[in-house]
Amino acid sequence: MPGLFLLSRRVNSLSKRRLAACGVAAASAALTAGMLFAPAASADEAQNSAFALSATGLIKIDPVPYVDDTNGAAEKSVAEIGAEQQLAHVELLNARAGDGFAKSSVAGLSLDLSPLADLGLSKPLLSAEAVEATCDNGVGSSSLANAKLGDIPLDVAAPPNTGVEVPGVASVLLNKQTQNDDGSLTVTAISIEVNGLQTIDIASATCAEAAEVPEKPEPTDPPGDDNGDNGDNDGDNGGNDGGDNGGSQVGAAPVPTPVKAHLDVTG
Amino acid sequence: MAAVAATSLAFLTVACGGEEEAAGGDVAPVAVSQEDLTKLPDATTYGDLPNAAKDSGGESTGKVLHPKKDLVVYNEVGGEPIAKLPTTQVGSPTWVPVIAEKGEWAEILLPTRPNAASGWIHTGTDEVEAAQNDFVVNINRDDFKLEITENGESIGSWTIGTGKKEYPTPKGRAYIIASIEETVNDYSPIVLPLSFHSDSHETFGGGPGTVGIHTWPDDSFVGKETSDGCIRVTKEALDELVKLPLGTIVNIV
Repeated sequence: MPGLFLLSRRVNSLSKRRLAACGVAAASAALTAGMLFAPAASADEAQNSAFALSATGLIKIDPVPYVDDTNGAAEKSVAEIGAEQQLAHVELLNARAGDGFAKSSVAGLSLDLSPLADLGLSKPLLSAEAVEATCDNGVGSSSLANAKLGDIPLDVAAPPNTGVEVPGVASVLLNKQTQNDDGSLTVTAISIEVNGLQTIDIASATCAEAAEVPEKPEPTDPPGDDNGDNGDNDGDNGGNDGGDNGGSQVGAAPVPTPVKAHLDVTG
Repeated sequence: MAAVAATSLAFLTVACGGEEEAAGGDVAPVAVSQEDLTKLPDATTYGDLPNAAKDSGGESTGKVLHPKKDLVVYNEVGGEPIAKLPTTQVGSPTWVPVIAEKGEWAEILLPTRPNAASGWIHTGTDEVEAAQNDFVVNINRDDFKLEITENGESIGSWTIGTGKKEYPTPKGRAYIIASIEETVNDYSPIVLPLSFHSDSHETFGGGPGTVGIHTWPDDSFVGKETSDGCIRVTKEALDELVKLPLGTIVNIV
């Protein structure tokens, strides 16, 4: 793993230089770097991460889209996927992660489970209009809209680790919540395991508690530094502590604190 | 029928309250179930709300709003829900500018595609924090000028760079959605993404074609059309721009 990590670092730094020179050329390099980073991300690196869809086994879908906060706050959207052999169709997938926060969602999900003979469903299909998982400051929640496994309707807002009775040898958990060794929490909106060989995870978000929120910055304190070196800013986004509006009088809008993040704008 | 009932209720409330500003402003928001909320798309720079209303052109109120939890955005006062506005945008706290108000409703600009997408939120709850923002940024693409005003008075003006002919900087009323200490791209220590997106780049790099304000390693851009749509500014200008509150209007003509 260290080798892969080093490689990903190099690709990443290369992508920076390319992007500075020419944004479009760097796009694929940056994407490559992101993909390499995903499996390399270890517990002590990125505590906040999310993916919309993943499956291992006969039905295999690498986590898509996957983001973590190795580079600060990040978000990815995928407009549409039709996985191999048309087993899966999803209209919109989104994942985002930042300090103490992660969220993932899918819309228009249709997953053909017919390769899983052990599942024992008369109608081997997992479908949902929308699925979301949110992890905020170490607290997880999930929500489903018009979701069905076969003919079984799934709860809109199931309590954590709600099992669903299904025929065959499958285990189906809604709002699956797992405490990780590094103290972070993973919430997965729909988690299916069949016969120990197949797993399917729909909308998963992992987060730790946000870093300590610093005292309110002095309004006169300029947030930027002067030499273009941005290495010394805490970039904390643990909360918004700007104007207090205890009555009809509203306060002055706060000077923003820059937050460590990555977004490819149109250079 | 529901709309008629809601309107009647509003009139009753106005009669009792006595001093409500605009008729219709007290219309209660349509109830949104957990399931409906789940279906609503998130209003972020990655989102697309093709059916959202366009910026009505109302004069900016100088007010900015921050949702403390996911907030439902409606297509009009008492209208249909079209999106949910999350509490953060690219890691920064969400602040949106208010361009019109009717009672307890506020018309806000949205950070999604298409450019100038707007919606209404119900502010009569403690889930919305309000603040006053006296700053505005005016950008003139033809003159390559960026000006910051405070209460209408110019407090600084700089020469900038804009998008190439084939990737022009879009015009309209945008706003600053976040303040990013950029960790991957190294052309600018801070990047200020705007609510607007490129009309010619559907995506850009790994992003959704968001237009931003940032500086550049050298001054080759000054007074020129050299970017892919972003507004490039000098270090001196960026130092002032980063002090502006999130939600600050950026008028691009």
